[in-house]
Amino acid sequence: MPVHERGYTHWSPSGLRADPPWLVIARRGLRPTLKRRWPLLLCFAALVPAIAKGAIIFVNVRAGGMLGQFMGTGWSSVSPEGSLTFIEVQRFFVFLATLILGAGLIARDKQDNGLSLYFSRPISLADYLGGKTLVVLAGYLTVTLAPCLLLCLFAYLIDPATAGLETLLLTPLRLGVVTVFTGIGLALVLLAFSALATRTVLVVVWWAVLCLGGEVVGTIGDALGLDSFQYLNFLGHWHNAASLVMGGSAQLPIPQLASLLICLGLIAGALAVLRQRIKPVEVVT
Amino acid sequence: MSEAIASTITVDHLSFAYKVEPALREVSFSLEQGAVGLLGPNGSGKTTLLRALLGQIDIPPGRVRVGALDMARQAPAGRRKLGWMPERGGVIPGHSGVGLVSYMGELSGMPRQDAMQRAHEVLHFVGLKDERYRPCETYSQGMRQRLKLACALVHDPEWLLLDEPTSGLDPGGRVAMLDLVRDLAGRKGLGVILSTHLLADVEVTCDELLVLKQGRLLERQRVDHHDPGGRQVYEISGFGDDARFAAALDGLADACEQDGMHFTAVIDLDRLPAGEGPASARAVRAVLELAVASEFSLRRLRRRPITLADEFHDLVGEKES
Repeated sequence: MPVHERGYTHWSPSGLRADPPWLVIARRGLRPTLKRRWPLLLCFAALVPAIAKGAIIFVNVRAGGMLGQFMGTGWSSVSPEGSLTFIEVQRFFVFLATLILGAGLIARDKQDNGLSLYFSRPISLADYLGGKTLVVLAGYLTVTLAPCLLLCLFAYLIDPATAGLETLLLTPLRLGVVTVFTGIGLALVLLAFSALATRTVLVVVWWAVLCLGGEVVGTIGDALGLDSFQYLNFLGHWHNAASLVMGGSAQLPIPQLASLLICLGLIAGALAVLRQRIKPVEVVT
Repeated sequence: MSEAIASTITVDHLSFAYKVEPALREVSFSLEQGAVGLLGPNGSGKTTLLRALLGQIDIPPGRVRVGALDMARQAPAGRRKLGWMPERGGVIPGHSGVGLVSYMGELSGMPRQDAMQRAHEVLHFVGLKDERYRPCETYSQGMRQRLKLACALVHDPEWLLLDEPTSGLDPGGRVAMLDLVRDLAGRKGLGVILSTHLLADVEVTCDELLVLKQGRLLERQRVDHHDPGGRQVYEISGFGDDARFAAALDGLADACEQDGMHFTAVIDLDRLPAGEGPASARAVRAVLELAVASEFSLRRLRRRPITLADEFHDLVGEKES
């Protein structure tokens, strides 16, 4: 043993608990976003509709429910239908949040030959995908579930007698199931696009076409009275499938079960693409 | 400081093909410890073999083992014992040097605090001082190579798999990198597999040499046991009837290669006919006589002992890049 050694030394574990790899990947994926200003501004902007709805609920309670009769339950309550209406309003924020967080997650790794680095570590494909999915899911829940839960809490606090335990427990539970399912589904589809592309800009274009293009096609279908156009409404399907769990009426003029099957099909397709495309092969540039 | 004892790496009749193109053919070897050079021309299957060791490609069960772990079935566990330094990429933009190394440490199963502390230690070892706080995409090529080595070392692996570690380095950086590798293999007890097409890197770093060509393991030998025997290399230039001279030289030399009016011939002195004077002088005289007889005027004749590079050259059948 040398008297003085400034060279390489072996690692002596401290005995602390290590985080699972998927959590490490998620944490490192979110950190750069949280350091930037405009994603944080987006999070605050996504709260504006919640603040507006909170004000409407407050006035409605104080006015003895008169505003609800005038505006309908969509904006004046946190019932399952009201919550679905709110999530629908948040679609544009969903589009932006998922895009900002998820578009480059895998495309950048492929572009920088980062996959070979990840898969030289003791992690599995599930760890890698789990971590990346969690990044997108965090963004999705921030603009959907978080304001919904705040509204439920607010509605309960201002009128506990009317809101009851359903507002405090059942609705949040349903909302949790719906938003986590939708968030994971959207994340996997977006990540599949990210895995197909080697440039982030392509993912942005594809995602915009899918989300916004689907909305436009749906609106045109509405105007022309052609219900079949709604089958191309990508975000609408998730919303329609969510109404099945929330116990509300269908959000699109197509069966809720059909939307659920389409969503499950999209998830299966995304997983197949991800399994096929995420390989630690070097891209020679 | 206790020295690590590396697990045995065993490769048993490993074959692998990219679609229909075979990249590895029936490769078998076992490595106990020390530094091993994996040498071969471009496209010989070196990187594919390293990927097979890491379990990054689909290989049949039982063909590659790191210690007791089958890399076809237990790749994630096996990778804890391996540190990988890729030739290309290996740096994820958006991280500082220390951030990237600690990230790799955490992904290797280290607690966050340990990974950060260890990242600083290995970055110090590879010689990245204040630069470690800079975004890694701003690093020079030399700094990137050092950073990649730090990433490979952070979880204290038993084996280091280095793919062209001196690629793109200036002479000073190359010497420094090879010094680090030699230190790790020699004094710290880490096993090292150094994949390169530069024989000089292997000569100064490794104890043993594996030569690959077209996916086949051609030779395995100890670097310090290189025995030139009586063979010498003669480099001959001139002008005249080169075809006649080449034909005549073929009869004298073990191997002869012609490049225009330049010849490189390997002559085994032990096989020269007996005669007066030392064998090397007799060989020179024989070359001169052949030149006169073939009407080939010599402009330059240089003699040197055969090196490991010449043997490698003979083995793979083409010039070293």
